[in-house]
Amino acid sequence: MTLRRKIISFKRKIMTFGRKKAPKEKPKEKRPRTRYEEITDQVYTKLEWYAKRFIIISVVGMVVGFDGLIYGMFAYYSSVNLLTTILGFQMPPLQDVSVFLGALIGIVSLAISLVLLALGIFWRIKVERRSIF
Amino acid sequence: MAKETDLKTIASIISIASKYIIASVVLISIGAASGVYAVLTYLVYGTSITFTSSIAVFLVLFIGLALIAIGVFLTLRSLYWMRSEGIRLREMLEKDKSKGTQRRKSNDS
Repeated sequence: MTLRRKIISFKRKIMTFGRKKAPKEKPKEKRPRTRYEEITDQVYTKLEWYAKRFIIISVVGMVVGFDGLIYGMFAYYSSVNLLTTILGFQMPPLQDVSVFLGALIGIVSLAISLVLLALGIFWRIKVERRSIF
Repeated sequence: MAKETDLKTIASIISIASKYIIASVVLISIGAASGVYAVLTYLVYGTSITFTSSIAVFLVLFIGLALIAIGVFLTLRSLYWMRSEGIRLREMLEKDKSKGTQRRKSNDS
């Protein structure tokens, strides 16, 4: 800071001594305008996220379902029945139960995954065509 | 203020409607599962179906079908809500836009 500037600032201080400083005017914040397209885009991205998850879960369900069906099949042909081979003796009622459970888990998870796949594809088509709003 | 409240209400309705999708998918899945259980139980018991097993089959089938119906209803309801609220939102924003342009025109003249 040069001497001249220092003198000028000192003068200003003397001139404005005792005066209240005027409050600084805050710049008016412009409210972001909510546009229709932005809002619909947000909803569509949310729906797409859901649909993506549905399809991923349906793939996992398919895998679990086929596993269950294969286990049920193996249990039916008791040569590779895991429970009886591990326990080391034949248990016909247990075999029945394992066949039933294997078939149940397999078919149930296949049905659930088909439902999830159908609904996931339905929502994806809705989002791609932009036909909700 | 009223407009902001309206906008908030519409946004919350749309977000609730989008969450209905998850509920509907879960309900339809449980319904399908219980339907499969009913069919399998019927196949296992076959002709030697007893009173208790018939009640079990009936109940599970009934619950399954009811859950599937509720899930489908929720899906349709959420679609209807999203559509109707979207139309309301569009109308509101277009009205606001046209008011703004009218004001600008009057200021220019």
